[in-house]
Amino acid sequence: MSAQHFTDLNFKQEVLESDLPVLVDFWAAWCGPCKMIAPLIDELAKEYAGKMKIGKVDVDANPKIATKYGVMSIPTIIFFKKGKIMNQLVGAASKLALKRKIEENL
Amino acid sequence: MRKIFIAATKQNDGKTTVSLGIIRNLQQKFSKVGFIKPIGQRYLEEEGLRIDEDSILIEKVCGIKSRLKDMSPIAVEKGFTEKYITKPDKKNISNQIQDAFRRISKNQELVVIEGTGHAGVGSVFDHSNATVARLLGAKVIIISSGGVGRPIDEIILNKALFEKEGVKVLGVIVNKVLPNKFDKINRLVRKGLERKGIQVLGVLPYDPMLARPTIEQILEETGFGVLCGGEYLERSVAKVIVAAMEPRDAERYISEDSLMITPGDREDMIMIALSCFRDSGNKKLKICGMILTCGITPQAPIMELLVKANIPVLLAKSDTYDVATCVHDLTVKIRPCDQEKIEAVEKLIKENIDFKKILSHL
Repeated sequence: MSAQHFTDLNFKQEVLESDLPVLVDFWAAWCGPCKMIAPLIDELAKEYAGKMKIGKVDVDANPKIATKYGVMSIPTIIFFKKGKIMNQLVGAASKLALKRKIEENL
Repeated sequence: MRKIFIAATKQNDGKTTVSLGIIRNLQQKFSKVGFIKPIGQRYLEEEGLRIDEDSILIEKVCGIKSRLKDMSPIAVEKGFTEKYITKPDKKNISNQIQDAFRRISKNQELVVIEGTGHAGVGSVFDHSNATVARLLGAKVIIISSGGVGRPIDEIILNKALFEKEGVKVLGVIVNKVLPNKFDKINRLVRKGLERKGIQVLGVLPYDPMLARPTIEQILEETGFGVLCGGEYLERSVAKVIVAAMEPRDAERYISEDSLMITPGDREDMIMIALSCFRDSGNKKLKICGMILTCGITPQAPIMELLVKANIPVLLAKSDTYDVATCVHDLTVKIRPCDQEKIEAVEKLIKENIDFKKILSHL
């Protein structure tokens, strides 16, 4: 399963009220580093299916969520557990670094 | 033939910038404008000769058709002063300057003569700026950096040396005045200098764009290596960040076109650097380049990201402090290819210098 798409409309239900911990990748189509990590996010979504919900927020299409969480730079990855922010990562990252962060937030 | 000597209170006050702007503006009034920098301290090898880099710049940018060696007759190379003190030959230097000036000024309506450093530079080999101005019979404009007390003090000191040689100081141009202090300094410095009987010919606001180096200039001046992104060296640097704080704090300091300096093993910082502004009006990478220090090349996965980021990444053997000091101390000179800067200088001079006043005294 590829990464899900979270929006201003479904964010509360899909992320904040999720039983699983959630990784949210804030991205935009014009952002080079976002494109670099996009395939990694998809791969990780498959690898961690059932353990962590992994999805993306397009900041241009969903400005409310990005503003609410103070996302100033993209890509920004925020880990949520039971509606609370657990961790945050800014910038491009290698798959290894992302995996390490996921393991920390399971 | 009119001639004018551009002097300064010290190095890097902006003599070349002002000379370039004056020449470009005067070329709109006079068809034949010449240029000479009798004594040069920063030279390049051109056509097998050592030529002052400012002369090369003016020749290329202003399209002046003179022999480069005549535009730059004396290059103060390593060992020059030592050799002169051991065996002084004042006449030889004077002759070289005068002969070059004669050839440069032939058929010209106006010649701009650029000095080197403050009025006394060159005294060690009997050719201070004041002596050279007298030798060529030119009136002087003194350039000083912005401020109130210090420029006035320095202008008075420099003027004294020119007057000792019997050279007339036409007036001064106060350069690099911070825009937020411009009105106050403009008013005070004019009043302060006029009290001393010195004409103010212009007060120039500081334009940070002119002081921006490109990554290529940093590379040329420092000798760091290129790790990747060699095709993007033309990027210009607006701000330098030494990334030594917590990554989440670093994010706040990165503004448009920042150059990040960080050790090659700070993967967290490198990752932060590889991010874009969220603001959709500013769709670009936050940084314009990186210098990785301590000679550490990042691990393969990070290197892969850096290569894909399409930014220049330099590698320095020295530590972060030394690299930051080195970049901070760079003197950013305008180069012939800096079209945007050249146009900005022409406009800056046109809008802020009283050419009528200058020409009425030549």
